[in-house]
Amino acid sequence: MDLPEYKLFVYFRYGVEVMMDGLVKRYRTILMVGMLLVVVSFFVGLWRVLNQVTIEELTGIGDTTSAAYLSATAIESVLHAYAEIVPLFGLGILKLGIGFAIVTIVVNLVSTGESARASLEKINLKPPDTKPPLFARIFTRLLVLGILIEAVAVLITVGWMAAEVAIIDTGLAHIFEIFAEPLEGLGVAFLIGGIALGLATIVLNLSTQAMILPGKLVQIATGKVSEPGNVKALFPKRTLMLTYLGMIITASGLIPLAFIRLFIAIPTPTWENWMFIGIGTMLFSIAYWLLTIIKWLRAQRVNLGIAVAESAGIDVPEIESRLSITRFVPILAIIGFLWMISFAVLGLLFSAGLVGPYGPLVRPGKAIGMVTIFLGIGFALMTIVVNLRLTAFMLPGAFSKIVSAIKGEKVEGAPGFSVDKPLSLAPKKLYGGIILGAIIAAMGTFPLAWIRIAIPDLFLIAERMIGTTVALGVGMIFYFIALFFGTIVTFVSGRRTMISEGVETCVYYAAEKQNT
Amino acid sequence: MEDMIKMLADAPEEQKLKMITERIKMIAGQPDEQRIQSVKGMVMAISKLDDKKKGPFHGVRIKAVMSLSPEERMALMIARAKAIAELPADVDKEDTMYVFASVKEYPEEKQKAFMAGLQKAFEVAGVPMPAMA
Repeated sequence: MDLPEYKLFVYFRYGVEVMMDGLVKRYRTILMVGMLLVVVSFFVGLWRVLNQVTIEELTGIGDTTSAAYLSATAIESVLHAYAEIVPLFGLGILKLGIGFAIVTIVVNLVSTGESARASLEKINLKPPDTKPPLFARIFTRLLVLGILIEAVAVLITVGWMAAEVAIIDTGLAHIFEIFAEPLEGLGVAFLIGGIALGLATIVLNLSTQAMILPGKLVQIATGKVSEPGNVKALFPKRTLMLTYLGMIITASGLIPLAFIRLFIAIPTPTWENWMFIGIGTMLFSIAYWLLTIIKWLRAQRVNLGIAVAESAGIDVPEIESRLSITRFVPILAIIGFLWMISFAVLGLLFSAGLVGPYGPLVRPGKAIGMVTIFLGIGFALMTIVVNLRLTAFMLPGAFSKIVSAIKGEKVEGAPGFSVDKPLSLAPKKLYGGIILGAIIAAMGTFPLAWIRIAIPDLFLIAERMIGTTVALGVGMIFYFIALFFGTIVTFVSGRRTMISEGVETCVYYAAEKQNT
Repeated sequence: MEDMIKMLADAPEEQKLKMITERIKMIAGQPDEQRIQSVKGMVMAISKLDDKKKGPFHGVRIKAVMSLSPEERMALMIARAKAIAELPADVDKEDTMYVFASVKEYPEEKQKAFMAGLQKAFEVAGVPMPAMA
């Protein structure tokens, strides 16, 4: 088509794709920016505490008109606005960084599959083409949409604060306030949902390669055709439904109610609790996506071992037993999820004058539940890194033996090498970072909440620190989770090189054998 | 390939030699043209490692090469010689310097055998061999 409008659309779309590609590759920089915002916010929280001490001292001596008092209250208004907006946006950027690391992993997995298929096509063994499902095609866009919506929520919150202090029309404050948190919820739904769907895409690619590739290698070496089994049937649809449910709860319950709130007064705390049910559901599904990835990483090694055994006619030892830490993943995920949901439901049922004087414990309760799920996610990520290391040990030897078998050479010895203590391969320092983040988040919850209840004089001072301390703790958890994914990127990229080269070598010698 | 080499360089010490040995055995078993490209990619990726990781990595690489069968070792050496034409001069020079430095750690007999093999590989590849400093 020669229409100028069409050409402009094509150039725009190309430009967006190039920009996206550049952004995805810079996920480490994005993580640093997010972490910086969260750390700076923590110090802003400390500043608020010191400023609050000044305000209370001046109020205590009856001074509410001096320049010092007015200055302190003005500082509090600005810092309050900052603390409302920036930590959450920083956490959003951290989630985006995690999401882009997952995109990089998916790109490597897809590239592995495409490279293997291109090689297999040379000897007419290419598996049939399949169209990726909707979630695999849109999850990257959901991540970008999520951060853009959060950016809009930030601008609306700035507008809300400006209206509160009469910089702009104060009548707009109510409208801004109604939409700020729901939009934040929509952004969070897309970001966390995008991460979960990215993990689902990893499961899809990994399971396909783990099931189909070993059979093709055996077919090249021995001529024996095997049916790989139905990959689609083995895909965990219930986990996918749980992810979608979490996204819908987090996002859609808030926007329609926001429009209703334009006409009917509804208490504000309802928003956060509803959102937490959705977030808890999505995090729970993420824990189960990670468990499924672990399952397919093990299956990949088992199937590759069988392929070597059948191709080379040698005995291949079984792989190691499951790691002990893996069994804690579902336990922590279930406990954390139920804990989070229970406190969120309490918050929904008793929104005003919450559960007597213990109302301030609801928010800490939800945060502790969320942190518990993250501890389970951390164990899952450690197990994944161990499995990827063991895969890296196995792949070169496995391909060498299959190639030797294709060439008709004698093959001896098992592929790869065993490791006495697989847990020694786990990146424990990264998990230590998650634990540290969990401790900081916990310190920002129960201790400060208890101060609020037990020492009323310190109520406001404790209040000033809660949000930014919890944000710092959760930010550290996100950061170390992102470092886990960064480590995984390296291994998946190495795996791509080994599998691509290995399959190409097998195909080369098979073709040579066919031609002689 | 860079991530591949980074993964090998960061491997636990206990497993590093085995991993690198398996990897170069896999390369040694590749068809000629693919082998040259793999060796070229490996040399380029090694040149991008941190300086403090390069020396130790080369040490383990030479140890792994020494452990190969004569046929596998010769195939790798020929590929390395043929890859010179496709490598930037500074990368080739630095890699050669590190290889020679690592070989010098071995007893004289092994050094001579290694250099004799390398000489033969360069002759087969039709490329002049650099002098050992």
